Formats: sequence, structure tokens, C-alpha cells
Amino acid sequence: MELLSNLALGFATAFAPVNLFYCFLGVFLGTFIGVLPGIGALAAVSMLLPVTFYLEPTTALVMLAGVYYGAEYGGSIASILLNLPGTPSAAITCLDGHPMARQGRAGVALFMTTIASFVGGTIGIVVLTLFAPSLANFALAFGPAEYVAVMILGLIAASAVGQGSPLKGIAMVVLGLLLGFVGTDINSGFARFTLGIPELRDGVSLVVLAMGLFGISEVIASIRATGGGFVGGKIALSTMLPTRAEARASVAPVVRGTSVGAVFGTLPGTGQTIAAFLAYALEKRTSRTPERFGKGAVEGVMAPESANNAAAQTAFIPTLTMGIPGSATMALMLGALMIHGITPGPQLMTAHPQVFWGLIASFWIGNVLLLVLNIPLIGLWVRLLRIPYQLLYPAIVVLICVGVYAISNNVFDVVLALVFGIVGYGMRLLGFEPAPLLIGFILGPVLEENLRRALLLSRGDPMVFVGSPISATLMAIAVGVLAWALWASFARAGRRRAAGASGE
Amino acid sequence: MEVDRRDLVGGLALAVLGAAFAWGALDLPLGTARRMGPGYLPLVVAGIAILLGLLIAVSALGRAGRIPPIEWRPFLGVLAGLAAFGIAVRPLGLLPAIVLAVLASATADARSRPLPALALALFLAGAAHLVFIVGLRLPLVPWRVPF
Repeated sequence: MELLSNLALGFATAFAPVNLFYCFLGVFLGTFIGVLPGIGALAAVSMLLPVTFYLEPTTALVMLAGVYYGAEYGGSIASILLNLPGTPSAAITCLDGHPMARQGRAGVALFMTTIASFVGGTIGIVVLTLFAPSLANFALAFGPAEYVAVMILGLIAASAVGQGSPLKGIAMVVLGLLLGFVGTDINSGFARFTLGIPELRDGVSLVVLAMGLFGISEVIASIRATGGGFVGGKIALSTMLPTRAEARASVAPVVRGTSVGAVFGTLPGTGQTIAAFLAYALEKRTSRTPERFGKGAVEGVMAPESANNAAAQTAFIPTLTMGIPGSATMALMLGALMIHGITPGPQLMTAHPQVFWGLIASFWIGNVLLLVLNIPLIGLWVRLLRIPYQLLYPAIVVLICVGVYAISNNVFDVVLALVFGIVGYGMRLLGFEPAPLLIGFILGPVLEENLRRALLLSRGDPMVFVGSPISATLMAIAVGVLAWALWASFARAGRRRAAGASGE
Repeated sequence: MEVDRRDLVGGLALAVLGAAFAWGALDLPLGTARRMGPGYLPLVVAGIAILLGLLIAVSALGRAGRIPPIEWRPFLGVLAGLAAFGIAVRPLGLLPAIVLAVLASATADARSRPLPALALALFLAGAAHLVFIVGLRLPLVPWRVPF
């Protein structure tokens, strides 16, 4: 019954007119940015983060969460119409969504995607509502040593399960940790790595880092990548409805996709992209007609889209209950909480119940808004994709400039964003992913604080990290994941070398 | 011998960055594992960064690979947009800075034309004024006479 009263509080908070308005605004802007090719949910959230500085914490988070799943949804529109994923997690939707569009069934694909997203998202929210409280209770018993173990596991998982080489992913986490050290050390008051620049005493700003690494480098990379491939045509409501057979064929894929997404979203580090890929692979394997996949099979759109959106919601479970972000976007959400003076962790639910439950209720309202907004607005999004990119990207550049400058009206932040833009573009060329870096950056200071506290309590004995059953188990899993990742990394390098040698 | 230039350069760059952080950490009190000073953990993490960088560089030996070419025009154009904004926003105010940022960043794409870019610049400046200053009431100065 406690759950019901909590939900009542949540809905009362979320239905407050100001929260409702910002939820709508977030979903709308998120979809808008998500539709633009090359700019994903992460860039969308970081661009709009400064706008929320002046809002109440709950309102700010409601809006940012709206931006997040709005962008996830919008990403699939670009996938279907342009064959160019608006977000990485929507990449798999290209495989069958774009062929559907080329067969003149873009309307059906877009409509079904909306439904799949809604169902996946709703079930994800139910899972979140049911499991978050008990997990938070469990995590309340954590001491500093257990926290260190959870964070190390999260960091390793984040780097190992990315798309690129695990070794390079771990390297990026480590670089993120190093950047997190910049600024004044809270224990001793020493300025670390500030190079004598007074602005760096407060540390590197999260918004600046995220905008530079994701926003700027994504804009640079997508200027060449875009153009051509658009298949939209006219999309009227009548062309959007699926046939009865298609609707029936979609039920099972949505159920399977949602289950895959709900499970993989919860695990730190895996995230929606993996969930969408796995759901697609599972669907293809269980299908009686796998040869239809890649040629416009509706199941190939439904399963990954429902998985993606279910994972987008369950990713909040580790983020909100333990303060461990499952993805870079979740790391940004944690950063937003901290900016508003709220310490993420298991005590969030009891210390700020209106934030926690209001946020959860707003997820659901946001998903309903996505559904009612997007079916009539699909035409608008289609038209947005027709705008030549050379008229869109300067607007994104302006949004980045204003967002970064508005943090504290300081030109230094613009300069720093420029530097991180160069770094981010260099990383892209060299095949380093920025997402693990951001997770390392956010978790770094929290990790250091808990590590120092744990070692102080244990009088410097490192065995404290394997002393309790919880931390020992977590550490064992972390070591296992690390070993597997390194082994896979070298095995792949070895295979490539062998393939290269035999090719000569 | 074949070398993956991409990972060789990336790994060495990471090792150099790690070394720079290690160098900076040595200037700070290190303390002991029991009572860590501000430099202790950064030194350890910087050491790991150097190690990982070298590992990546070593693994690049013996296989082919190259760095994709830099797209100079988009790269410089977008950065010019940010630089223009940064230079102009203090002396001239937000709206002129936006106009200059749009015009400068328009050079990033060969398909940009002067007149549409100017129209876009004015439109975005107006929209930014409405959204950020009128709507969200961010404490930004719309324009300023520099002399």
C-alpha cells in the first residue's frame, strides 16, 4: 500500500501544471533533436541541461528525462526515413525500418514504432516502480567499501560492453577519472591539475565536457555524412495503420523485445544499444521466416524499438537507487541531480520522495505525451528532415554556444568546450568512444571519496574491498568481466593479425 | 612491419597524457594508503593510463590500420563558429555573437550560401532572444555598444 501512496505523491507532483508543461517541452524538444541525424539523446540532454539550471530540481529532472526518451524516440524517425540513425540505439531500426519506408510503408513503420516505444516504455516503468524501492533498501546497507566495489564493477562494465575495443573503453574510463580529479580536492583543499587557471578550481564543468565531446564532434562528423537517401513521401493518418496481420505479428516481438530491454537496461554499462541489438538478433533467430529480416519485416522494427525504450526506463534503476549510472546519458542525469544539490544514492527515495516518485510518474506521462504528440506530429518531423542540413547545424552550434556560456556567463567555458571539441574529434578519428569517458568523469570524485573513506576505516588495509560478501561478490564479477574483455580484445587482435598474414 | 597507425597514435597520446597527469600529481602531497593525500589516487590512475596507453600502442604493432582523414572544412568551420561566439559575446552581447557564430560556422559546409546563412543568423538571433532572454529569463546581455 505504501507503493500506492508513493505513486499518488508522484502523480500529484508530476501533474502540477509547471511540471506537466516542462515534461511536454522536454519530450517535444527531445524528439526534435533526436530526429536530427547525428545528434543523439546524450547531446540533446547536455545541450538542454543549462536551460534547467533555473528550474526547481524536480521540474528540471522531469524535463531532462523527457528530453532523454523523446530523443530516443526521435532517433528512430531518422533511421526509418533517412537510413541514418538519429541515435546509436536506433541504428538497428534502420535494418528493417528503412526498407519498409522504401516500399512506401513509412507511415506504418513510424506508427508501429510509436506503439512499440510506448508499450516498451510503459512496461519498463512498471519494472522500475516495482524493483527500485527494494533495491534502494538493499543498497542502504552499503558501506564505502561496497560502494567502491559497485562503482568499479559499473566502470568496467561500461567500458567492456561498448561497441569498440574493450581495452580502449577502459582507457577512456581511466581518462575520465583523471579529468574528474581536476579542481580543488575536497579533503585537503589542494588545487589539482588546474594549470593555474582560476576557473578550473571548481573542476571541469560536466556540461562543457559533454557538449565538447559529443555535441561539437558529432556536428563536425555529421556535416559530411548527411545528404541523400530521404524517402518520406506524403504520410497521412490513413497510410499509417498496419494491416490486421501485421498488428497480430507484432505482439510477440514486442513482448520479447520488452523483456530483453527491461533486463539489459538494469545492468550497469549495457544500455539500450546492446538491448536493441540483442532483441533484433533474438527475433531473427526465433522467426520462422528469418529471410524476411532486413527487407522490411515489421517484427524487425517492433522488437528493437520496444527493447530500446524498455531499457531506457529500467536504466534509471541503478541510477536512482545506487547512484551508479548505466550509461553516459544516465551519468548526465546524475550530474543534473548533483547540480541541483541532490545527492544521488539509496537515500534519494526517502530524502526526496517527491523528486523520485514525481520523476517516475512523469516518465509515464511523458510516454503518453509521446504517443499523443507523435502520431499527429509525424508529418512535422518528416518535414524537419527535409530541411537541408546546412541550415540545421548552425542552429546546433548556436545552442551549444549559448548553453555553455549560460552556465556562468564566462567565456572560459566556451574556450574549454572548443578544446574538448578538438579532443572529441581526435578521439573519433582514433576510434576512442567518449561515453565511457563521461561515466568515469562523473563517478571519479564519488569513487575517490568512498575509496579514501573505506581505506581510512580499514587503516589502509586493501582487503576491505573483498571483506564483506557483497563487495567480494561484486569485485569477483568485476574481475571476471575485465578478464573476459581483455581476453576478447587480444583474441580479436590475434585473429585480425592471422587474417592479415594469410591475406599476403 | 605493419603498424595500425590509429592505435599507435592513440595509445601513445594516452600514455603522454597519463605522464602529464603523473607529473602534476608528484607536485601534490601523496600521503599513505591509509591517509591518502590529494596526489595519491591521481598518481595511481595516471600510472594505469600510461600502462593502458602503452598496451594499446604495442597491440597496434603487426597489423595494418590507418587514421581516417581529417575533414578540415567541417572541423575548422564549426570551431570558428564557437570561437566567433566566444570573442564577440563579451564586447557585443548575445545577439551579435549568435549572428557571427552562425556566419562563421556556415563555412563548415560547402553547400552553404551567403544569403540563406545571413537569414538563418538573424532568425536564430531573434529566436534565441525570445527563448533565452524573454522566455527563460537567463541573465544574458542581448547587445552592447563596445565603445
